[in-house]
Amino acid sequence: MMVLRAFSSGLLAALAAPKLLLLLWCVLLAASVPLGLAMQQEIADDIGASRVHLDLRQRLDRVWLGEFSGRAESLGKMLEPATAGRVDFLYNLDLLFGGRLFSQHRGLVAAGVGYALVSLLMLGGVIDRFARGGGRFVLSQFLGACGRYFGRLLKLTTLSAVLYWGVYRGAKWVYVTLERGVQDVTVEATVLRYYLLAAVPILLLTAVVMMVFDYARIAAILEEEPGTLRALGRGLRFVLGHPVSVLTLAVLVGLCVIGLVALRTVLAPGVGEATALGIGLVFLLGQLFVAGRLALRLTLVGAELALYRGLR
Amino acid sequence: MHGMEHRTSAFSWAGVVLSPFLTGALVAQEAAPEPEALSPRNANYTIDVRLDPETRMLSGSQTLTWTNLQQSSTNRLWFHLYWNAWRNRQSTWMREDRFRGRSDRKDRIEEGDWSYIEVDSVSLADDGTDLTRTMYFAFPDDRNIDDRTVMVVLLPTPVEAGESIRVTMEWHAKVPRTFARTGFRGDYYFIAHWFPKLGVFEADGWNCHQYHAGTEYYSDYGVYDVSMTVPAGWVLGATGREVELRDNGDGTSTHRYAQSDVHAFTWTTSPDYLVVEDRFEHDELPPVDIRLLLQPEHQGQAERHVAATKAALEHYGVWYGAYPYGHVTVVDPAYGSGAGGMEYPTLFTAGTRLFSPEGGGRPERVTIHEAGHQFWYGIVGNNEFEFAWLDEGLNTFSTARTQQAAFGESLYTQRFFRPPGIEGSGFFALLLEGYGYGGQSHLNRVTRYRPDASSDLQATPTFLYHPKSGGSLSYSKTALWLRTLENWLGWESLQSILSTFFERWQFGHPTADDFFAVANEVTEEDLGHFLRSVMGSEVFDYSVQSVATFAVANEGWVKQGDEIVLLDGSAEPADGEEEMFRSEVVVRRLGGASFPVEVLLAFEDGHEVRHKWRGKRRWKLFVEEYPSRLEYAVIDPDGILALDIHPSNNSREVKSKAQLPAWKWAARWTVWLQDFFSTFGFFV
Repeated sequence: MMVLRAFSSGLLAALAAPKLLLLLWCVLLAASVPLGLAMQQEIADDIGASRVHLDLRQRLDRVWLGEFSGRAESLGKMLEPATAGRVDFLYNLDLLFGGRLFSQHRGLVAAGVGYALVSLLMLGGVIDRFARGGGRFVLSQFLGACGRYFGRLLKLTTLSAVLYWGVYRGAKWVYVTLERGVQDVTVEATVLRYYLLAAVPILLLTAVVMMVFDYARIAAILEEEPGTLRALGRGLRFVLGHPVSVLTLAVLVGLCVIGLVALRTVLAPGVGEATALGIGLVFLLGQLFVAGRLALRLTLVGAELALYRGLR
Repeated sequence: MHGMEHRTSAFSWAGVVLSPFLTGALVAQEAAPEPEALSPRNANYTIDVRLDPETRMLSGSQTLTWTNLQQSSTNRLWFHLYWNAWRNRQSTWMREDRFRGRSDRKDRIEEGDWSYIEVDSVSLADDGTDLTRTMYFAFPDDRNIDDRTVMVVLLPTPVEAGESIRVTMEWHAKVPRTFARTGFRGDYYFIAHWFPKLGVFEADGWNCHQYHAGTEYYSDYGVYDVSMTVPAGWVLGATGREVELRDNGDGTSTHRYAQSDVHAFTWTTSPDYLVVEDRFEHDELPPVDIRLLLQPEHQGQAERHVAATKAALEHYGVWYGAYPYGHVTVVDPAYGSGAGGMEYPTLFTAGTRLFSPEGGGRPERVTIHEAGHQFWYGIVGNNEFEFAWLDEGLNTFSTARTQQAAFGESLYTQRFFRPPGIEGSGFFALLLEGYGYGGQSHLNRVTRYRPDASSDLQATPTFLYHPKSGGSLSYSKTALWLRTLENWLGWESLQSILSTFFERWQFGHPTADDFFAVANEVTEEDLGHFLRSVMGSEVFDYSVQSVATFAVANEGWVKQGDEIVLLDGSAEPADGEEEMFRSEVVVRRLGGASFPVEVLLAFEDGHEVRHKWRGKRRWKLFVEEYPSRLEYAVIDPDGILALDIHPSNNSREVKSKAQLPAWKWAARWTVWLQDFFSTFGFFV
């Protein structure tokens, strides 16, 4: 029951913070729109006055795409069916799980890291605000909290990055070893089962690292704990002390994310004919999905905070 | 090494060279008359081979009966020992493989993964003369003294023109973990190019190349009688039909297969194969028994394999000529075996995945392609060391045509779940609509061809192509220039070329010149310029450089009646006169190769004008004065020149309309980017 109470508390906190959500969405939009505009320009320049636009209004003609990729010097190389369709979430998740997220276009990776740092900056303000029970959203107050806690959170995140890297290296070793181990297995389903089984402890370990650092961040702010290791210790103790509750909450939020992705996949329109209205609707739906993800992120933070307070 | 005796008709060889002892044996087994010889049958093999799964060794003995079809004599025999390509890293195959940018397992070759073939003895079958000590290795292509893929045996007396010789050999070989689609994975075995195999004696000597990473094979036709001993209960598939199955009582069984008029023999065995049998029947073509050896986990895809095989047999059969063997074995290789997508006489490997959604084109495309090789490679047996494009190109073109006719356009497949450190594509698959090839599946070849377009002269012998880019020329470029010929001459003409070539060279060894001769003869046109162009390395790339349209100038001095008046540009057309517009279009030849093209000028009122351009000069101006503004211009408006490496610059509009589609794809991409950034947020 505590988990459900924490979840609903987190959900209510997220719903009660539309300005916060708007701010987070604006930051994400600000990070991506300039690059999106650059991509638009690159595509438009490449099409020029060619009548290939007739095909491209209907579909992402891959003959043109091959030419475009060959000519593109920068972002253009990142346009492909998977990054221009409704499987984008799955594609990115696959990049993350496969350890290929950081081997993408360097500029985008740098921007992604930059965005993560900005998110980290704002996380301090979010936790602080939720910890104080909401109230009227004052930007200066929020930004002040962001700045106040950024150093602590950065140290914790640096430490978590090292651990994530360790988990990734371990996962890679597991899979390479496993691949050699199954080199005489002739049934794909069997190999897939092994790979999926191997993913369970890896994902569990990743989740544990994630949760330990989530609660360490909460401890660092809620309990004004400036020491990185002491905050980490509190997070670790909390996770180890309440593993079922912590995990259940994470799974609950995870299921919400899956539901959101499923909903979007169902609702997402096909490629269709290019019209201004259609383009606007596709973009709007995409923004609703993005906002939904951000709202769920806020929900997780609020719920974890409530759980930490409730079970501490 | 090179050169070729021209043959006017393969059927003229019927009965010239037979292998009476073999023929008799088969007649006895099958109680049916041996069919009339379709091929010269001058390289006939009787082989006994035993597979030991414990040691992954083959031990074999064989008798080769070879007849010299040339006018000259020879005092030696040249053999391919293909499996020595994977003996160590010093072989020519392994050295070249490093240049390919992809490798079967370049960094992880374990002790048990290498292979070799050792010939233990060679002797004359008739008098037992031992020739073992005369064996030596040859390196005709690159002087790599570490390469052991070509072996020469000296004969005590020359084999004169028309004479035959019988040679027996004992050998043993280690089966590799798969290289070049050959080898094992667990208890799955795919055994190809596995025995000491004679090269081809041509007018100017032996044609027996070393094994190269980017090339395939070349052999004479013959009769094969092969007995394979494998563990009892294992399913076996091979070139030909099974004529005898013997339980040896020691846990092994011997499968005897025989096939006439083929130039190779391949087999596979595994305890896991599901056997599915079907039959191809067609009003105009002889029936073909289809034997599908399927991985159990692909049981649900059996019908798709069969349907694709039938599509190939039907379309190739109707277009080019009938499949004559009456049976074909389709092998669905084991997961991870690396044996998929390869052709052998009367047997080929397809290739699919556990998740291969219908509509994604897999396994259909690969099945059609490899079934199609039964015609281009199997029946028309060109030298793949030197003219790989003859079979790969003709077949790639035919594959696209067949797939389009039988299954239509396939959807783009995005695969997911590729764990860290694992190469290849993901396990799960989703089909995506709206990411196709604009309804022209052959154009996917432009994308593959473009980066390698100038990497080699196509006329270069295949074994001298750069190992990484040669495939683009053999497969993609050839398919594209055949498509160009189809668009240019019409399908009937091209079909006539291909079917005549097929009829004339079935069971023969045609060269590039033979193909060109047929093309020129059948079309009664001199295709020389075009064919010379495509055999080079220059690219075809036409573009519309500029378009302009404006009112005909009414400025300056003009004669009106008897007067010369000065107009200032403000004058309106007189009543009853239409305002005239001058439209100028500059087209340009960007590539080095040329082709006659049309230039279309389309006006806002729907009027269209077509001009012909020989396409030789670097640029040309087309001007029209017409009472409507120009809307756009297109060079090669019917898309005849499929070889054009940049189709998107073939058209130009007066007003760019790029913004809307650019917004469309950029908007979608931006949403992906937001998700991409959010994924980094995972770490926070």
